[in-house]
Amino acid sequence: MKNLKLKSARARLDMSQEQLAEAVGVTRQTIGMIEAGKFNPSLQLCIALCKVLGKTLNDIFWEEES
Amino acid sequence: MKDERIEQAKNKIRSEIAVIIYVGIAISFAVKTLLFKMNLRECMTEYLILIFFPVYEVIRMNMMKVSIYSVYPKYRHKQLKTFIVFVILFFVVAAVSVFSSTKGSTVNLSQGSIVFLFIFIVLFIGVFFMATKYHQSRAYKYEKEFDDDNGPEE
Repeated sequence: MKNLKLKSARARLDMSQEQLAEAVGVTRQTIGMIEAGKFNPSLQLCIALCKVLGKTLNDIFWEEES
Repeated sequence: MKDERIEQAKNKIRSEIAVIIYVGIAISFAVKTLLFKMNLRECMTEYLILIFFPVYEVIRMNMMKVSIYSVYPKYRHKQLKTFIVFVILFFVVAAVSVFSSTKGSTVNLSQGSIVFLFIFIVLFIGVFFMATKYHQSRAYKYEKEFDDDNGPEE
């Protein structure tokens, strides 16, 4: 499932995938794959992403039940 | 921070390579003993690798507090089945080996290759069985160690 929350949080800060990747110490492709829902990041990476984006884990990674 | 996706992929590929090499060594050992009738001394490298692979696995799993064996009876039944299949497979291979090397002769039974093959089978099953038992006992220990309901183990 695509992670559109991550994409929108990144876009809100006007960051490219490359910049976010550099900030958390991974490759651009990894960020792309997380956004596309093709890779499940570790909790450590999730926290690093949230810190850079100024969001909580709930804001970025929690999915509401439909 | 290293890119965990790349690290995971690398580790996965390397573990697959290790398994491929292990299977290759097992095939090499079987071909040398069954087809070329080589004795144990001539395939010592393969023999040692086949024996020490599970031993190394046990040591590393113990160090990392990991157990592949389940403490739940439902899954243990499945593990026992796998072990029995392994043992049967070994005996079939051994029987075929004995049959093919003694065909048309009554004196070939004492051939070195067959004796060494049996030594190998007995040792392999022994090590495999001990490793399995050890893993199972560790699985119980790890299960209790981080169980909040039973409290920390001494």
